[in-house]
Amino acid sequence: MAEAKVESLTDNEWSGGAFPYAVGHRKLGMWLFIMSDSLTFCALLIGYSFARASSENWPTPFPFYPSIVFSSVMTLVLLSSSLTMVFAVSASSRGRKSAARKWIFATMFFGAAFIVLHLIEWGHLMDEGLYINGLPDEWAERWPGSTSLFGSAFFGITGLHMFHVFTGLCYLGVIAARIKKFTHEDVETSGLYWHFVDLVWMFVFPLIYLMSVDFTPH
Amino acid sequence: MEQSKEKEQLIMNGILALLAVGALAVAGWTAVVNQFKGGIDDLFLILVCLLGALLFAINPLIWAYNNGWISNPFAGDKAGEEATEVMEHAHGGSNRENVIIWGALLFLTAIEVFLAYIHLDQTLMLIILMGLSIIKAALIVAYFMHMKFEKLSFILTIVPILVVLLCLFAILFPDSFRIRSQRQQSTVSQQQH
Repeated sequence: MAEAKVESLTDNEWSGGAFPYAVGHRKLGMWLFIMSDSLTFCALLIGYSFARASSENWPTPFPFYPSIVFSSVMTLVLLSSSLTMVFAVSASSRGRKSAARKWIFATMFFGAAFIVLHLIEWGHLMDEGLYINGLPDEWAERWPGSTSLFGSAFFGITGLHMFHVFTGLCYLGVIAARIKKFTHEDVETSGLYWHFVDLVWMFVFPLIYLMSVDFTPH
Repeated sequence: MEQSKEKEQLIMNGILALLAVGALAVAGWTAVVNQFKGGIDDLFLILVCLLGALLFAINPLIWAYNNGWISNPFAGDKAGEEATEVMEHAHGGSNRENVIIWGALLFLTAIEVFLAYIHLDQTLMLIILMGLSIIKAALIVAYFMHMKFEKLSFILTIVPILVVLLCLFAILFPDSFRIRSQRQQSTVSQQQH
């Protein structure tokens, strides 16, 4: 009955149907948020590339272990969390809410693993002396003319991304805790947010890590 | 009532079609008269005009298609495919399909990490890495975020405008090379004094 009503509302865009996109208002709102947030990340990444291209020298300090191994495993973890989130949404679309909750918990586990791995990776770099406003002395000698912009760009971009992952964990936690009261559209919307966080990492990982690989053996 | 609505549609689509043709004319005029003497600036103007023409033309084209005046040249005999797509619409892709996409994403990531360890020119590597990343992003948006299974009007609202906005950021980028060369010139002139 309700579906037939929605069908008639979406029938004709020109006659002012209530759902001209055949998408609910929550999902449309999430898509608009994703658009604006992708502009935020694009601005940061372009700003980082700008600073890098206009600098005389830019450190390329990431060794195979720990940095590249950790970031590759983090990519694997985040992609897997996206897959479990897809399963959660597909279970929810079939009305199997407790299965959807289990898949959301799996997603949250992978998301938490991502944050833990990332913090360990940050710890490695901080031990070497990299901070948001300073380079390690050793790096400044190896790459003369490089500035503390490296640390600002690195911690700024990965930090904002990590904050998004953390926000996503809270969001998914609320959805999973009260999944009986939420509709399928709510679960789908949280899935959209989570996939977006994954998508951003697909650009952060090559630009920040893979473009700064250290070839020289220690 | 019905007649006046049809008249309104005819007028609105006529205006949009005229705007599309106008944008195409500006693009063509720029290409013929300036002959790309302005370099990137001309290219940018032409691209913006073409994008504008595309955005204006979408509605008249859909309208004409719905009225049966034009047919989709790529349609072929896809009736069977469309039927399965309609069936899948409610649930998005199957789980098997999603696992395959996941595998493809992991494979592309592995290629990226491998490429990072081949000594390539930085610009070439940046282009390859960004190309692969855009493919990965498209896979995520299309399958994981179900964009492929949304209504066409929704896709046309979200995707083109996002691409245009993201490209607009890149306009500033060439300035970075100018800053770099200016800095080098100023250090050279300081050493001469």
